[in-house]
Amino acid sequence: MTLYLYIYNLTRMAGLSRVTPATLDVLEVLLEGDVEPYGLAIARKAGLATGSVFPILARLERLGWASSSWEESDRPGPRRRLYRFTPEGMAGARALLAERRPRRGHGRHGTFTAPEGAW
Amino acid sequence: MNAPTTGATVTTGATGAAGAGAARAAASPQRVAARVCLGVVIGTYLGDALSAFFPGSPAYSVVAVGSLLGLLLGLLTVRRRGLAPASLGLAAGAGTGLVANPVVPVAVTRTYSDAETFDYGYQPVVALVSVTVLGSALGQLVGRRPWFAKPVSGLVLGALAGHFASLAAKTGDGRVVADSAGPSFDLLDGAGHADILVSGYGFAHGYASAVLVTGGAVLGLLLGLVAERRRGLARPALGLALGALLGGLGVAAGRSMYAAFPGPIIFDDTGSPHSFEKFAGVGYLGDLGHGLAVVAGGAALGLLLGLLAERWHRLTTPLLGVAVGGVVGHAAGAGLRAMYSTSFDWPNPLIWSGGSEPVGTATSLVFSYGNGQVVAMLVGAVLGGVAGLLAGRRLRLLKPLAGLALGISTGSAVSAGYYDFVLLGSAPSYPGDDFPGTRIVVPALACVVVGLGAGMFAGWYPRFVRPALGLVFGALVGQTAARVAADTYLFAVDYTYNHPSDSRWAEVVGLLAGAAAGLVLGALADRRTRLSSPLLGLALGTLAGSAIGSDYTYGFLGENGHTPDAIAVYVGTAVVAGAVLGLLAGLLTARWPRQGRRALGALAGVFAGTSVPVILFGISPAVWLVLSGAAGAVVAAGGLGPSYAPSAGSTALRSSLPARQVVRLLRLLRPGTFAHGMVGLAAAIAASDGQQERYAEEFEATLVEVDGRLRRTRRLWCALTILAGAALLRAELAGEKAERRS
Repeated sequence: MTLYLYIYNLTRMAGLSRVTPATLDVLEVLLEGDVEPYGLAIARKAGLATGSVFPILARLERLGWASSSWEESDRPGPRRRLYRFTPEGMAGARALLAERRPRRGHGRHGTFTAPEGAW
Repeated sequence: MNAPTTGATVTTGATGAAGAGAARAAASPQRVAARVCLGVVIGTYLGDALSAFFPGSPAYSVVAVGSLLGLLLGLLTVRRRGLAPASLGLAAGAGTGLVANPVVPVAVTRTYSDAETFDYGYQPVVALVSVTVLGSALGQLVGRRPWFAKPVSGLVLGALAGHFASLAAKTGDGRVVADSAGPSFDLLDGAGHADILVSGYGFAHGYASAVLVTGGAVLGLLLGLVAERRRGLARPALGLALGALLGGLGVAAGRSMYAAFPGPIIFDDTGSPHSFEKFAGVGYLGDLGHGLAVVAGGAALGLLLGLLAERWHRLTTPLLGVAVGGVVGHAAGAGLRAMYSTSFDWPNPLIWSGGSEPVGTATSLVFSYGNGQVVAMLVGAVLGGVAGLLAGRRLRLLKPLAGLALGISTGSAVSAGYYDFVLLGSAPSYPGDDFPGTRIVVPALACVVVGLGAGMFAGWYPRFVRPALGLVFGALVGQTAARVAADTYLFAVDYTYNHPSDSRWAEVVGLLAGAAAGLVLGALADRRTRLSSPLLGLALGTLAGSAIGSDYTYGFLGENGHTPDAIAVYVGTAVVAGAVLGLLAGLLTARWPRQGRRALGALAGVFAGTSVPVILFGISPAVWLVLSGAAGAVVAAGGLGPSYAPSAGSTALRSSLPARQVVRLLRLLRPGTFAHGMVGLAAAIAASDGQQERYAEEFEATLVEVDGRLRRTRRLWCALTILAGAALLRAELAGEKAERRS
């Protein structure tokens, strides 16, 4: 019950009152950290259409759950924008995923640990 | 219509050069997409045209089958490159079969009448299939052995010249037969065989025609064989063929009459004939007797000019321009006849069988009967020659051509307005002998000439361009809006076609008021350039909406039993919708020129497409509108860069100018190019100010990251999804802004 209240308060305060499966997928990918956190890679990993990921990422940014910055690379061509969780966002995402998708190994109490160096 | 085929010829040439040995090499995704697209476009066109052979058949099923076959053939040519020339030959053969024979009556049937009242039998289909198979075989031959190209070209040109010569060889006169089953063209007097003139351009029976066509083909083949070995003979041989072809066309044009028939006639109390249906046909008047002499003269002249062109190469382009202009003029003349004929256009020589009273009046327009088509051919030849001369001097033709197009549109609007003015003033009876057709032609031609001149001098006086454009578009929009409003009023509110109506003034007032308002707005837009795009969008949208409404509703809904009042309302709705969409496109262009110009181009393409007589292509208005809209969008997008601006240099012309230009323009339709355009548009939709640049770069980076097999196609899909999510992204970003403010 405490957890429910925690998530409720967290999402309400942060404005994430409507959590879609796609949002959960994106949160999951960002938490797992298997891929470089830019739009296309996130979309591929989450199995979503590329175009549907950007509004979700913008939303996470707006709510302060994620922040973004340009990659630092000497690659020719346009730069990629990398998205990272803020501490608050990471905690919120863990809790949310633990509640909504407990069978996927996220634990119920924020025991998920992102791979080192992922962020 | 020729664009895809021309573009494909280049591809095929490369393929043929690669040879069958390299056929196993893996094709690039770009090539796969290009061939599949080309196959679908050609298949759709042929399916659409073929469906008209079977009145009452499920047309869209046939179109779908055509598209599917085109898709499969396109895929097959990727796997087996040797199939590409055969497939293109097949498509070209089918196209030739359609154009050479039954396409005109089919289109006439589709446009003017209840299709179920016609039965052409299977002869056109047999002819089509035969020519298609022949084309496929010849394409295969040319693909394997390139030196066959000239002989095959000679064969085709010779057969066409023979075909038109056979029209010139017809004898006799035409009459109208009226019976309870409906009127029709009578047989040619003294022809001795059953020419079914209603079936259109010379679907001739008898051996004379077959001999002429076969003889022309054999002669063309021989000349092609000789020209292949002795290069100096290529131009004279081409001149000979084109001269014969133009001679045949000229004779056919001079003798042919175009008439629109009413359906079953009902005579009212005053004895005037009335009918609720109509269909159209082409017949041959007058026993010229010297038709073949004219053809021979044309061939001799062509041969002479070809020899001159061989001696002085600079003459080649203008002479080719004359020939092409003549053919285009012939086609345009036929189209104008078709467009302006009404059920009252009964030429004098047409009489009822068994009676001697002429039905109706002589002619309402010069193009309905008489030498109109010949005049059109001559005008086309002169214009083609001038264009060839200009091309030789490497002058840019875009502005003069644009001026010419606008002049034609204005002339057409003036003609239509005057026609309706006279018609409504004398309703319900036809104006009679005093209907002054030439009074329409003179101002219409003046508009055309002024448009051409204004286009040529537009570069010298840039200050007057916007006001002039405002004047023209204002007049067009005013006349169109007034016509639609008057039609809607007369049909849906107060039907007064039974007596002279004051609503005849509507188009006159609309045209003049629109011109005045357009002039003022154009001058205003010259000072405040931000207004230009929205105003242009509004004008193009209104015109495109009217064009779509008129073409589609009258053609399709009318045949499906919708009442005239309902149709008038539909047209009015289409005009309003077009105006709104055009305004939006104009606003989009003012804000984001790169994306918006495509939308404006599409609208302009639709408007221009409806100006082309679809009847010539045997294609349904809806398909034609889509094709012309897409072409307009491509041209508008290409106009952004100087390298894509249409130009006509003599060098380019000699090295197959259309193919090069068309291929360049088609390249803009590549999935990759479109994908980048779409993400740019998505960024513009999603964000504004500094964030727009951020998302544009981010989206671009996303696209670049898509790699591997079929990457261009997958990038296109990726761009589509980004574009689809742009509005949602904007909502998110707007929420962020609002939160910041609060």
